[in-house]
Amino acid sequence: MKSPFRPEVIPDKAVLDDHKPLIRSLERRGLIRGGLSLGSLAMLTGCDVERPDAVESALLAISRFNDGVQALLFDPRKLAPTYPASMILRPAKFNAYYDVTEVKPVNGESWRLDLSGLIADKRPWTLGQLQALPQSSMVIKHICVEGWSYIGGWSGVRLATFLEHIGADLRAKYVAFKTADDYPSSIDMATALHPQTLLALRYGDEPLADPFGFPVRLRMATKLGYKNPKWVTALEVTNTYPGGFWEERGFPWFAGL
Amino acid sequence: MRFPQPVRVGDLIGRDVLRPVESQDILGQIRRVVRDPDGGILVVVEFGGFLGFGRRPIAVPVDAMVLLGPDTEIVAFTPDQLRQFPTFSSAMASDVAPDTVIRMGLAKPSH
Repeated sequence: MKSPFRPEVIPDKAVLDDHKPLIRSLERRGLIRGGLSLGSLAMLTGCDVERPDAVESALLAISRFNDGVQALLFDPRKLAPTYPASMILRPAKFNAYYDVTEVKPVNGESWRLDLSGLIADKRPWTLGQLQALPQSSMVIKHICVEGWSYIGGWSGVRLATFLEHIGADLRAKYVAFKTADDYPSSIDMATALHPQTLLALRYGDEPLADPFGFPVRLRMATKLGYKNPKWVTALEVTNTYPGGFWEERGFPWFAGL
Repeated sequence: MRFPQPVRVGDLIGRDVLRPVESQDILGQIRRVVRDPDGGILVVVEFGGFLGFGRRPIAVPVDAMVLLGPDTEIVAFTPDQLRQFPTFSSAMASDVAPDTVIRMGLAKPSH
């Protein structure tokens, strides 16, 4: 039987293809799993699905809503699972938005971590200074949005320790990162202060190797792999939404596990 | 450059060997790591066959392979080229001890 809600004009199916990455990222969260057909898309948004911009902004609104729900559900004291050191994959698994042959190693001697935004002491940091702060280790699962995972062992400075050390405004909303490979990223302050969020300097008891972000990368146990920038060169504390490399391409910003 | 990384020989045994294409077809598994008379390191891959029949060991130079997390890929030869490889015989080489650390390059996932 023909649905009484069936619109007079059937939208072109291509509109679903146009927004495939966005729809996939939404489906992952299961909020509207199985429900995002053309019909429900039109009902849900009341928008004109002939206009891709309108569809895009509707989908992005749902994605932002998802981010908000995830932020509410995030428990800053709850720890992600950890594993015995014997399970660490050596070496780690490489991934980036380009192949390993394009990796440009960073010189640890001349490397500096530049600081900006809502921070009392904005003097840049050297690798030696970071190594002199208290170090923490964790053996955690790296879970990629592509569907694979591996167990890795990371050591470095808790981001919370570092933020306190530099006098960052811990009531600010975001901590943003810039990297040597032009892969901007940003996280919520609650995750930045989580005990399993590290400025990682070592992997499996060795200094980070070049392809894995030497000298410093971000490693979090509570977010998907693409939220962990490598070769971090700058950190900003801000209340203005900073976005990120994949986030600009439709991937969810919170990306919690 | 594929940034060859240290990897323990014992940790390589049994790993899947994939084809560097989106479907990531499994070409075989690593059985042994050996040194040829010239000192070159070869990875012995149980290769080919169908439903477990017709598989045979071939020796692939270590620098023709890359690490892909817990898996490996052969990046320097196509399956057609690998089919032309001679069947590996133990007389050709000696085993590398499991605790030996060798170097193997990296790649990003092909999918």
